[in-house]
Amino acid sequence: MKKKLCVAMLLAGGQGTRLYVLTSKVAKPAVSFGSKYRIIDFTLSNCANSGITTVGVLTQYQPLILNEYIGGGEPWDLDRAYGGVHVLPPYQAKKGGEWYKGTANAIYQNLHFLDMYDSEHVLILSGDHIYKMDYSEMLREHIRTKADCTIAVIDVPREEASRFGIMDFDETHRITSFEEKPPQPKSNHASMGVYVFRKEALIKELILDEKDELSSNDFGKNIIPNMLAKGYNMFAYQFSGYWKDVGTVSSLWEANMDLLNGGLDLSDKGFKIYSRNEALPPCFVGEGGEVINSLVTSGCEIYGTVINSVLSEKVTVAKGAVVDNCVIMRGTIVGENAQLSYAIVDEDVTIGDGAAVGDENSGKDKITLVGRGAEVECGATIEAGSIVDGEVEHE
Amino acid sequence: MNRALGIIFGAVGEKQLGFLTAGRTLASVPFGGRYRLIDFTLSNMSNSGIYNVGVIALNNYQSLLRHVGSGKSWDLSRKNGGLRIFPPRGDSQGNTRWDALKSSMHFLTNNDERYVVLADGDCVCNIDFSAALDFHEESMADITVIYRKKALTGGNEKNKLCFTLDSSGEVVEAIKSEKAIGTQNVGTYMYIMGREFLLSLLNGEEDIRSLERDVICRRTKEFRIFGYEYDGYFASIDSVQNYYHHSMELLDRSKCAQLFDNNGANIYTKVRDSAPCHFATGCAVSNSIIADGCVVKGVVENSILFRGVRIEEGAVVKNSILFQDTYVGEGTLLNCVITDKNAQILENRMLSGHPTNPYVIGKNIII
Repeated sequence: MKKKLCVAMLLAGGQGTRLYVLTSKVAKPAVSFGSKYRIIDFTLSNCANSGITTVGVLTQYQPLILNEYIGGGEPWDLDRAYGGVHVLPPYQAKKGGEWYKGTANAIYQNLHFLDMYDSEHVLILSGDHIYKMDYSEMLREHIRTKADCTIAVIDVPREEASRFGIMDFDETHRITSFEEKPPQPKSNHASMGVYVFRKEALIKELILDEKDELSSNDFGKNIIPNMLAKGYNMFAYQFSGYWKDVGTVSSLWEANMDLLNGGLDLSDKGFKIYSRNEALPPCFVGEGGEVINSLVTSGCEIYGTVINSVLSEKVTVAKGAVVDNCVIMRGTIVGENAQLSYAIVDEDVTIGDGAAVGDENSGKDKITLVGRGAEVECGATIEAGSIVDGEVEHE
Repeated sequence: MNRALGIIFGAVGEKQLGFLTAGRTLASVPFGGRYRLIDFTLSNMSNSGIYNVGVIALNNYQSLLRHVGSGKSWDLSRKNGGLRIFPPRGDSQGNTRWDALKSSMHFLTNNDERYVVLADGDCVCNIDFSAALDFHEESMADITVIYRKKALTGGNEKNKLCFTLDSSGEVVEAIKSEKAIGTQNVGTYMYIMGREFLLSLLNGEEDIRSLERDVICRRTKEFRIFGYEYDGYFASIDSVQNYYHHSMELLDRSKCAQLFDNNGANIYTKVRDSAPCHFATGCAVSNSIIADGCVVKGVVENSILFRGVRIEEGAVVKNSILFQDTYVGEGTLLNCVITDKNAQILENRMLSGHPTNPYVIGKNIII
């Protein structure tokens, strides 16, 4: 078989604790986003649009829905005779097995996968960011500069810089310093968590890191700073498009709203975002329905009012209901005369007739969350900023 | 082994939709916002466990080929069987169903399924063929005709057969629908036959030119022909008028639900990966079907918008069906219009047809 130039490893095991009930049943990358997508669609589509056709998806936390969603990879054109998408959960081997301890350890435990495809370079991605990026340009730069490691960089507002890995680089983009989540950031050049490594260098460092008992086996905390200290060739690749970490409730809500105000264009036919489609008829807006500045998709039925909102498949908004500034995920039913404001409502929720969820004077810092499968009773009031748990676990 | 083969007639001579079939075969005419007519029969077969399906193409079948591809969207890309397209054999092939069957005898000969399910490519319905096959088996029929009950006024159904059944469900007489009045058992152009039985007719000495006339009508007594009733939503598309009429029926939600979700049996189509539909500030949409990829800034009432349609500010679209990627400019008024793919109606135009005679604008036309 012809050797692959670059194989991608997509870290999708994160629990996403800051999304609370939204990730109680699913891994963060499988959370619905932007009406007909899930978060991981963006990274998978980026791979497909970049000509990277071998992708290992490392899963750990609540993998069931994510695994089923990825399936054979057909929606992203990643069902390939050689390569394609592979889900890589932690596994038991002769020497025993263990959970992925950190991002670097997750790759370390799958070195056999990298050996199998024996590519020259490895692209490390995380499955919880919303952005459109052509990785092939980054790979080209990585090869041109003969780098051991190239890190994608985006400039963030100074006040947010301490949430990221922050680096400095010279005029040739050679990285001169890297600090993970520094309290006093020296610059606003933030790592996007997108790395290209020369495979040999990566494997060598992963093996060394694994032997270090004090290491937390993390790319940002251990691998990158160590490599820099050892004098490896490391370069920054500047990215300037839309990029958003959707790890928190407010950032997830905001990223959805960005789709309504032109922050991110989903309709570019040359760079489509693919998703697994369900067989559903197109959306229907009934008489008396009103939809303003919103995204709506197949299977939705709108008889009430929807303003500044993002609705996933099969959402029904009944007569007299008003949904404003909300993100409503698939299969949810909003009953007659219910009022929803500044809320993220998970899949298969029933909002009873006349219920009031959230407050129209609320804002992005006070988003109300309703968990998967929850039933909000008719006439109930859910205060702004509160969290409603979803369905009860099987005993 | 599977019980039945499927054969779909991609086009039938007498069914013509003017502009809409000018560049494409009947089976690939767009319908319902995101579908093509053939999606219904392909989905019905796939949902009924019929995974060996031949589509007999007639002419202008490029769009059909593009649409069905490998058959994957209908789960019909299979190692054994799957979807096959039979293009016409040169110019000599006629355009009746019987001609089509004659041209695909190899398909009937080279498979061993016991039965064949035959359907026109324009049957818009959601039927479980496996229940019909059970009926066919139990009644030990040579031919099962699938019918539905409908009140006829002498002319509201053309080119169809009406069946008189005895108490056991056997067909005792078949007449043309033009001659029938009152509640009738009207044929749907969906049939079940034994594969060997069909082959024996095709190979036989008799001069058969039409399945309906020469077999079902004339030899009703000779063969065991049984009727199986389908009582869900049904439309057969054979003219622009009834295309328009049946499309608008989808705005009736109970009919729409019957068609798209029959006990979990869904209708599949080729995925286009469009962005979600964007309803802009200032738009007003009512009683309409809007597919993904649309951008709506104007007024849309009682209409069906296919994927990627763009309605600019101040435009008013009423009672219309706009195919994929139609553009409607600012201030333009459309009423009872059907636009084919990629039509562009620039700003401040006024176009109107009538429900009995919708105004059809061809593919890629700029007005």
